[in-house]
Amino acid sequence: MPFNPPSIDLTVLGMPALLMAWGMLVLLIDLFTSNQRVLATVSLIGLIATAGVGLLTWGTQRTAFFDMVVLDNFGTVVNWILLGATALSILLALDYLPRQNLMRGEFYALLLFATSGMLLLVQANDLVMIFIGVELLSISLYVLTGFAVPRISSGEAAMKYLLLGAFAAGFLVYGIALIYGFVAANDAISSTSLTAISQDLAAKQAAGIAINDPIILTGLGFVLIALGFKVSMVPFHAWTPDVYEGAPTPITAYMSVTTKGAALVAIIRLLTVAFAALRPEWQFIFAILAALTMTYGNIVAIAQKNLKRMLAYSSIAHAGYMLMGVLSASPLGASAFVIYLVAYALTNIGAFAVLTTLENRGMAALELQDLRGLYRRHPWLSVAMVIFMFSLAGVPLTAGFMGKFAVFQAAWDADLKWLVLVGVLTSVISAFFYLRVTVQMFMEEPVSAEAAERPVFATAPLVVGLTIAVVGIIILGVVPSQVLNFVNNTVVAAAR
Amino acid sequence: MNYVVLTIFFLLSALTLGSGIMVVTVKNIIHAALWLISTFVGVAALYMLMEAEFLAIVQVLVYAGAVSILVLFAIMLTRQITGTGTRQLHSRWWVAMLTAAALFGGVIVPTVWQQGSSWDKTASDAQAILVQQATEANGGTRPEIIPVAGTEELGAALMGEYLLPFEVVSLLLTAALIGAILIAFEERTRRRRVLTLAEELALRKRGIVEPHDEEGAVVPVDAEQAV
Amino acid sequence: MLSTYAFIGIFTVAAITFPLLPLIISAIIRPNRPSEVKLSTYECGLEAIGEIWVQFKVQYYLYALAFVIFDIETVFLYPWAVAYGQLGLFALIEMGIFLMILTVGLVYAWKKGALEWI
Repeated sequence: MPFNPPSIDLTVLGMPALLMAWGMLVLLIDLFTSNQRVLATVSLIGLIATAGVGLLTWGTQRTAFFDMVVLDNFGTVVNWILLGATALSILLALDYLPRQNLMRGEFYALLLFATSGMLLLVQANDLVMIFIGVELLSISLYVLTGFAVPRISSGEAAMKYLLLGAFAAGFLVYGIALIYGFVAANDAISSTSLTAISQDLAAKQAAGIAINDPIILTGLGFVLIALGFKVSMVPFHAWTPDVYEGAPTPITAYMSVTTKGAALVAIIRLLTVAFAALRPEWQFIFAILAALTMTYGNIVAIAQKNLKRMLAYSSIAHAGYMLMGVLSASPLGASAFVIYLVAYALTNIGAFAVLTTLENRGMAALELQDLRGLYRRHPWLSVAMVIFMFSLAGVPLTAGFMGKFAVFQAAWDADLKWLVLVGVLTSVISAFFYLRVTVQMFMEEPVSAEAAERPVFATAPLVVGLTIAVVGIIILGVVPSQVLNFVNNTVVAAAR
Repeated sequence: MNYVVLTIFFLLSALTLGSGIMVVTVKNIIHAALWLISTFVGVAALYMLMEAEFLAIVQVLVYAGAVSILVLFAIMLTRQITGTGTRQLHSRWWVAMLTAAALFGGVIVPTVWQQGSSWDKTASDAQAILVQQATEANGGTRPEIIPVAGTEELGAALMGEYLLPFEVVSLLLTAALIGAILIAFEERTRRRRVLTLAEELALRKRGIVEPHDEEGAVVPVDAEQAV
Repeated sequence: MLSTYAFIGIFTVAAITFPLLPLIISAIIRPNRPSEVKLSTYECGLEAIGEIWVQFKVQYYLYALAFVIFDIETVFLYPWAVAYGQLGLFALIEMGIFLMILTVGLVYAWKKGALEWI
């Protein structure tokens, strides 16, 4: 049998490939310099260059490497959001790491590796690629979670994340095997690519074979469990609060946004490209899970005294809102998801940036009462925090409102009116604990004289990050039409 | 299937299952780890019997070779639990048993249901059938992408259809290596070193009990103090 | 196909029998007179102290982890080597890239001092 080598299509693979190479470069530079600023700057340049590659390949739509990866405008837009979120997280980490005595150059290399895994996941058009993307981002994140090892809670968080993540990886592989087994049974197509799966299912349907076979439903369920774990969808969310609390704050900010975004794109592609024929089977179950996720996250967040844990539960709830866009399985739903992701990325990283400025050396996590009287100590910071909290709650004129509006509209169009009702009700509940944070900052006196004297580390990179987040939220909230039109045009065009 | 193969199959299964039972019943945890290696080798031999050579080699290389080493090292790194006579059963062992039985049933029932008629097919038979079906479906010519089974086809597939995952795996392994070094290195600088036998003897002779920190690791004594 | 493994089977049986046979024979013919001195643990003439199982250095584990990583690499090298005859130059370049990426990891480990003994 003659072997014909595959064609190497670096246009399609451009963004992840460049970022991977850049990660290796950062790793090598780390061997020769101990200057954190140099590493951070090189990493930021790499992120910008990768985003630039997306600009160059804009408008191309094709698959490569035997349908393994796909390049389309939808993927590119999500990639840009992920790159932006990574850049903001680097700004957060720049002064945080030395302050916490965690100066290790591997941080930036691992961050770039994790992001390149996410870009791969976003562009994946094959079950094997989905697996590799998930693993690349997970392994890097396990280490980054445990980056503050001298602190016991960080090591514990990494351990929990690793053990449960390994379990989820097992589900993913087993699910892939079952899907492959069903698709490859008795016929010619034996590829794991999403397009091949949809063709095979269509062929089976045409031949009168029932496609809602228990084997493929179990397989699909297992794959969705594994991806739902990364999204922290209820009931696979249990790891979230502990891991988010234990991880270094910039990493919490980073993974609360990017992991969810990348895994949700994989779910969108899986459900709309490969398993569109099984829509009646998955849509209802997914809608129930989304409703549970929103309700659980928001209600449990009320009881939290610790700010990081509160934001962790709130991130579970936001995953539920994003799921609403995903399960609508329409171009409108996909564009709603993108808008929500942008809003959520700016807001959540912003909120964690405020926490970063308040964390002293050795301080693991902040209690709600530590915010008391922040307005007197640092008025601008508390104004920024108010904007983030309003945006998370979905108050009009903020980005969060636009995101929620878009996903509700998509779900309404997909005839899931009860789900919209659940979404609106849980948003109202969430307003309670988000507003409680602002009340603490403005109304209450500091717990002690010592607390009133605590320094605020609003250094230059953090101020830049905060400004970007605030400006982005206001632009998206006040004049959303430009952004909405852009996203709608690109995503609808990409979805044919 | 002929009786020789059947006999070998039952012998190997007995070896694998027997070692598996020994893993969970022996009192000495190091012996349990050694029995685990025997289980791994038994599974590898079973793979060989099914003509899945590559899988057998991987089983020996990764499980019998590397994973068992990791398990043994992990046991020897922890000072307290190496002793014999560790309690074997958790008070709710039946939950674990039911879970294991349910998982086993979940795997075996659909398999028998789906594949019950083709028990006696070997891997090469199955491969031949798949290739034939694929060729028929493709209008008489052998298609470009065919199911992968043998080692050689696997190698060709890694360089062809699965080239991209193959290359990304190297990055994945590198990230894992960095992570391992990062975390174990941290551990090393924190724990420092364990005393040698001679140092321990010197300490005992002077009646000093080994100082432990709150995590149970030995706190090293300065050289001049120990001698 | 399976019969080609018959040699391995015969070899395995021989390999197990060969060391077992002398042990069994000697167990049958040797006299059995145990005493306390004979049964004590021998440690270069010194009296044995402490337990046999001491805690290993964490250092070993680092090597074990690195070993596992490069072991997995072998798993990929193996089918590549088997199929190399039909693959040609392209496969050589691809494997070169694969190994290069892993070498960067090795260089990193080396330079960070992870392979040094302390």
